[in-house]
Amino acid sequence: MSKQHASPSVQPEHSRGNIWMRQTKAFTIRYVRELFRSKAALFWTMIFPAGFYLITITMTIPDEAMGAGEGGVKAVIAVSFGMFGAIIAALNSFCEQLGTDLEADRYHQFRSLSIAPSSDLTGRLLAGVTLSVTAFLAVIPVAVLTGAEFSLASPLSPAVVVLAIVTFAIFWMVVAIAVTVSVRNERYASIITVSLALVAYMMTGYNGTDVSVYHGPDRLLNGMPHTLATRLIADQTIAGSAGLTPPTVPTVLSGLGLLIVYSVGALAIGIVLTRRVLYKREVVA
Amino acid sequence: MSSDRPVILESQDLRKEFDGGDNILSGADLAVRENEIVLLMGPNGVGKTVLLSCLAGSEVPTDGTVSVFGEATRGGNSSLDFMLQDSMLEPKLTGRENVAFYRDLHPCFTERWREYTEKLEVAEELDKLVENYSEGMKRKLEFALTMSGEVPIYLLDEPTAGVDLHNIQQFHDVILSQYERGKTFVISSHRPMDANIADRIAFMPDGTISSIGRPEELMAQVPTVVTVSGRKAIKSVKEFVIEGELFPVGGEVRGFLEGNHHLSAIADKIEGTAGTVEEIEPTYTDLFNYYIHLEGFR
Repeated sequence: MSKQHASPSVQPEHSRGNIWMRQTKAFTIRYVRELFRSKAALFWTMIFPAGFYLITITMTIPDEAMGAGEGGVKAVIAVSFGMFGAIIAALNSFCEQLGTDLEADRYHQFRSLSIAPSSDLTGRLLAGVTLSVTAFLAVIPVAVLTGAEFSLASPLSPAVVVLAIVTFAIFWMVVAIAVTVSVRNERYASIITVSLALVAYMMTGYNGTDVSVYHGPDRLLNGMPHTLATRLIADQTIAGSAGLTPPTVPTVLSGLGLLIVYSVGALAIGIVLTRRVLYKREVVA
Repeated sequence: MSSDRPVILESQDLRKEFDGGDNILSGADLAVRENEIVLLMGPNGVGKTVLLSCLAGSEVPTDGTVSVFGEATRGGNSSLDFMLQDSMLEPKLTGRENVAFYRDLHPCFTERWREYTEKLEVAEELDKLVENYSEGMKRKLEFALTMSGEVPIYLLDEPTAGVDLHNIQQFHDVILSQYERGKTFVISSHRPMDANIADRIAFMPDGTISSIGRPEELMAQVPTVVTVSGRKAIKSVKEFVIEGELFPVGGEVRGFLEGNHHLSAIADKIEGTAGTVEEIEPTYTDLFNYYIHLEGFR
């Protein structure tokens, strides 16, 4: 009987680029399926923000605050809760998923395979961004049905909204990786990240959408990733966005530019953490 | 298996210390030749999984080296597949989705999973979520996925744990069919019947490999095995067996006769009790008890 003694040679269709693409696809599909099948993730990212939006507009906003600009006020509230859902999606769902993988020793398995760590990170980020965008969008129809009025500042506004959510989600997902690899326990990581999201939301005037309840330096509202992204989105989608000023919302270019800088920095940290901590490899192979 | 085949997987003085100072491996040496099946046997917690993990590249050793095909390695290696119990499958995906995941992830994944899932009787369950699988079903799918990778070396961590006897034979058939194609295996196990397919057995009583050899060679070195029944007889026999150690096997106890004692001396000693003593041929269970609990600590 013939026997095969050598290690397998790499087939032409198994070029590095092809393997990376296939592995990225594998991770993305797997993580998207996991996230969208998690009842807890769907509750905290979609049901909870939409429910709290409804409670807020029916019970906690006095009629006089509504007045002629009622549609705009509701829209701002919707954007703030939508972005809260997006933070939860990026932080909590992401770290729960990663924490479960760490606890189940799945990285022992992954490390034994010839996997490009960047394909894993990319898959996780794509899945997380998908959930974050979905979480944000989930509040919008509820808001429109209850009278919120949106109007785009320019034809490019939808692209600005998507880019703002993507860059903002990447930042928070890398925060989630850092928290999870530090505590290595899905439950603790979940408690820490939900607390982080709530504190970030409450302490910054509902993600910077109601400056009257924010007590820190004004300039931070245009500097922190979550407030900057939320304010940019509100400014692009709501005419005369109530409650956003002062300070003046930055221009699209400067706002998106800063968010991109944050996400590139976060990505660099994410790559280092994934290679060094999850895959136990050198930063540069 | 011929001893002139080249060593293709080797660990030298492998040490692994985890945070907190736990020394799991304390100098494990193992040389695996091409196209052989090495069975790694030892009790729980002695580092069998850690040794396999270091060989597979999923754990970084604290000290020592691992080489695959003569090249020092660290991290994932495309020459081997590692089945790590309970770590492969994602419970929130169906069996089929898990297959698709590994098919895209593994550069040398083949369509053998179809044949193996049929053979192991898990094919009809592939559209169910893995969280609803029994332990045995999970093991079958993990095994089918691992064996579907086209690689020269397979590292299997307790592949038959939780699997019923009928299916263990199916597992062995799959392993042997790949063995006949020239593949190499290192398998950790508690199951004596896994020794039936081993070319060599390596015993790991602590963080090192204390004995390694062909089953018949190891068996030939096992001292006379006696089986004893009856409470008074058991107490009396202890002075005749190595280290005074008796091992419960089924409803009786067994021991290894000290070289200077004879069965007749024990028979005289227990006369008048209701007990019995007799000499038996050693089994793989006796082999395990001898090399793990006695020889391994000498």
